[in-house]
Amino acid sequence: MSIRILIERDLNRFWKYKWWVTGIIVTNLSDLLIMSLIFSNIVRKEFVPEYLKFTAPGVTMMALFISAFSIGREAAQEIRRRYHHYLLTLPYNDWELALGKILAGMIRGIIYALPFLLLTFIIVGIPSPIGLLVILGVVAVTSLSMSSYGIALSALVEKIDIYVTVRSLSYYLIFFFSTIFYPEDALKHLTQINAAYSIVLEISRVNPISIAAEIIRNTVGIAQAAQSNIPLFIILNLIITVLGITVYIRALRKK
Amino acid sequence: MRGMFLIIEKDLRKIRRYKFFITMRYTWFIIQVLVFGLAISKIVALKDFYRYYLVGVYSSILFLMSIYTGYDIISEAEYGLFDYYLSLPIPRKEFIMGKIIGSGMSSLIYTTPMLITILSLIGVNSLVNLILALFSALLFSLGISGLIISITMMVKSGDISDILFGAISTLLVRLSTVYYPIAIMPDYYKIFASINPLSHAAELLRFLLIGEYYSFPPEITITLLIGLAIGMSSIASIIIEKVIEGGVWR
Repeated sequence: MSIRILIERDLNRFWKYKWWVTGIIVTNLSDLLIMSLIFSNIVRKEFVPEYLKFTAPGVTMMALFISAFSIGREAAQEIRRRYHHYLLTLPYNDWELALGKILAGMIRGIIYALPFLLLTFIIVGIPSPIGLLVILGVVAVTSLSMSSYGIALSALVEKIDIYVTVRSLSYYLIFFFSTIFYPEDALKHLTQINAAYSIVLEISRVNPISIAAEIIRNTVGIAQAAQSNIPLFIILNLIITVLGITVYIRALRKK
Repeated sequence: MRGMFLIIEKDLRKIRRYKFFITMRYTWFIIQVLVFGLAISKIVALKDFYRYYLVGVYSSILFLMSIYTGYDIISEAEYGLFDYYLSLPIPRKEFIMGKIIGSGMSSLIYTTPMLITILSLIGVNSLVNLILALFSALLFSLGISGLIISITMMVKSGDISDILFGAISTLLVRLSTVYYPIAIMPDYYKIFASINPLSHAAELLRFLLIGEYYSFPPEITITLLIGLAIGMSSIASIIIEKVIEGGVWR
């Protein structure tokens, strides 16, 4: 049997959560078309001349993260209910099971992020063909690693309340310890006032969603973007993906 | 009246069960205040924006906690607890008012750690104003609890209520003066912000806690909050009374 069936199964399940999907679409759209639009009237131009253009790539990556990460919620349920024992009786080895699940999460992320990416292009302008390829690559790689991260988390934490806590903590770190809503310069200013904020700055520099947003910003020519660290982006996402697969396989093999 | 107090007491006792939930909300609040709030204040040109933001974010958490009471009603209804309540020797009106007041007071208590945090950051300018702020917050949470209970009882579905609450809270928080004053909004958003109860709660709390208002004068906001509390409680009591008989859920 091909892992295509596993991927299809997980993808079909995504569309069953149509209300959940509607909810996150409302949230992501309102972040962009209400909050960012209004903030663009009061954000200091020396920091960000066009705030809506600045946040559009960040909100797109945030949307991608939520969607790709959602596969972890289902993996957590499967592990808690010992449903994965049933999966192991199927004619797949555990690597195929892990790969199928992670790829399904990745495709979910890409499908959900594409309309937001189009909206971003409407707001910031269409990139060059090479730029477009870079952006699509960034979207695919980030989606893969975030899906993997979601699944790893589900395998590491079996108790539902602890899982919800860790998941929430991940959301806080990814969204607020990042450059989704404010440029790196704002975080540098905070660090000058209080050295403790260097933690926020350093986390934002290794936050894959932040780096991905910065790469998109640089590709579409947003001047306030921090320098894109593409090698770090690739290494980080690779590590997260490999770790995610390894942790999930270990959970599958556990009796 | 004894029946009403018993219902209120029961709702307030439940707070102890939600320690984990409150801790999570508080962590979220602290990160919002100390990371997002400070970072966004650095790039916003509005004078004293951080203080503006602090009171706004408290209003939004009070609003979200008031919405959370709706989930409590859903779980009570789904577990058949409402049918049990109906068998108690408590008059309907007392039960309904007890439920609304209990939900409103619970929301206020849930948000006490957040209120203490923002007061420690902005300071307390007057004890009278603080008491008035608490009273205004209670009026607001009573109104929102009434609204949420009404929606829950009309929809009678946990899933649909969940989506409705999510959409309502997302849109109302963003289309309000929680994060930004009405003057800087595009005209097409101003109308929503002007009729949004969250805008008025945030503005009144700003007036009482930091001595300034940015979008609406306090005499308008307090009138609207009193109207919201009385109006929504009355509507909720009418709806509950109509729906509650003959099997409350489905």
